[in-house]
Amino acid sequence: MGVIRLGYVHIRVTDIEEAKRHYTQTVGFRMVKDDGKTVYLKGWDEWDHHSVVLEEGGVGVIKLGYKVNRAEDIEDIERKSQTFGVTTERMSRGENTDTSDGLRIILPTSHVVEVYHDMTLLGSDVGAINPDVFPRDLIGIGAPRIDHALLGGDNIATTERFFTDVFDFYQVERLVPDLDHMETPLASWLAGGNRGHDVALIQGDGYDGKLHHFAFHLQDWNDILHAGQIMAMDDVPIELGPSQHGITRGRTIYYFDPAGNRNEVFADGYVAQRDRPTTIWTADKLAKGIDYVTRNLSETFATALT
Amino acid sequence: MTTITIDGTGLVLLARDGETITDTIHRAGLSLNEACRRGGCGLCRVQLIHGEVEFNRTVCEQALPSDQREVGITLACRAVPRGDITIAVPAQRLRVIVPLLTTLTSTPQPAAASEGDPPEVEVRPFARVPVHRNRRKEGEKRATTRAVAATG
Repeated sequence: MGVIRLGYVHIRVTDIEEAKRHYTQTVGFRMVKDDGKTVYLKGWDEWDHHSVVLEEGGVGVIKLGYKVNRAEDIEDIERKSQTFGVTTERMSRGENTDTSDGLRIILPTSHVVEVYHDMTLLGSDVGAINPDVFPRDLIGIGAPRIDHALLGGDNIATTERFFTDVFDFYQVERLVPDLDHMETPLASWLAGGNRGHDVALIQGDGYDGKLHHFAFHLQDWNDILHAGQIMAMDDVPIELGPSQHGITRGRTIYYFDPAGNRNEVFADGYVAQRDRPTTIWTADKLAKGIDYVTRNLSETFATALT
Repeated sequence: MTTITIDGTGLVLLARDGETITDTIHRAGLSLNEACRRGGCGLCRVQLIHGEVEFNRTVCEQALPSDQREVGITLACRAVPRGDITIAVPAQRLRVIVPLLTTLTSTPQPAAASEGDPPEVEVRPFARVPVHRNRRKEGEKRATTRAVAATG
């Protein structure tokens, strides 16, 4: 048993007050801890302490956190990481607020990922006993939880293999140059559980260490339009959508936070399974993969990363 | 009224008080390369040739490195003119928008242009914006960019 899901995204923002407003008032996440220049947020339907951490200073991603089911899984991942050949270090309980001990790993693409087994349990906003279907006091988009992150890398093949070999993720979708080169990933979508993906990678010059986006999960297409309406009211810059991806079938809007980090609201992708044949996209069909409806190649999708 | 002159185009735009270069450009029905519109992605880089600007928010080092600021490169979406300014914009007609497709399907990248000339194609989105060092006439003041907020 490996990693069960993406647990947290820890990003840099240039202005903590503007970021707080965006992620609580527009996205509708709840603030669970305010340390001044670092704040911790949670979606209404998440049960662990936090899933988004905002830290003032710069832009981009600091690290991602992935949760395993049992403490013993950490040792397993440590051994596999060392066999694989990446740099690891142990992290202690409490190094991250309300988070257990675990392992810190530097990916070949330079990103830092942390693996942990436990976090303080706060519970969903609707509780676990005879719950209502959503909380009465939703704010803005009212996103229930995070969904995935897409990271950039100059060369992603080794990092893709890290996620399958060490995290026991499976390949959901992959972008390849053409059908004669199906083993060469230009972009890759990988999952641990039933989400369409818990992590994705995209290749490009100068991409190492960068964040393409992280996503919030919404229920359905109505929620996506509603999210767009809230973004209009809050003057949020939108890049693409409301539309649907060919890749993952997710309904989507790509937009930017006040620091320029890209976010996504993502709904209704299919349920992934380990034994599902991997979907392949050839590079000449990238436009259909990103924006299935318009099939227009976005100018900024592959050039704006933080 | 404050003016923004766009070098090499004959365009002189009238800027409202406190609006960013991007705001003025859009109001004039024009478009520049841009993505996040929040000073984080660096795509709206322009070259300040005359005059001064200030940023209406913190612009971090990653989005606009010091070596670019030093030669007058600024971000249009955060820069507010302090008085009349002149800017130069990168070549816009043909540009790389998905690097992984270009490297798949192209022969080696175009030869580097001679010093001082902007390349015909902005080949890599993270490449430097060309610096128009030879555009200043004798005795003209060098352009400065002054950030009002602290830069991260």
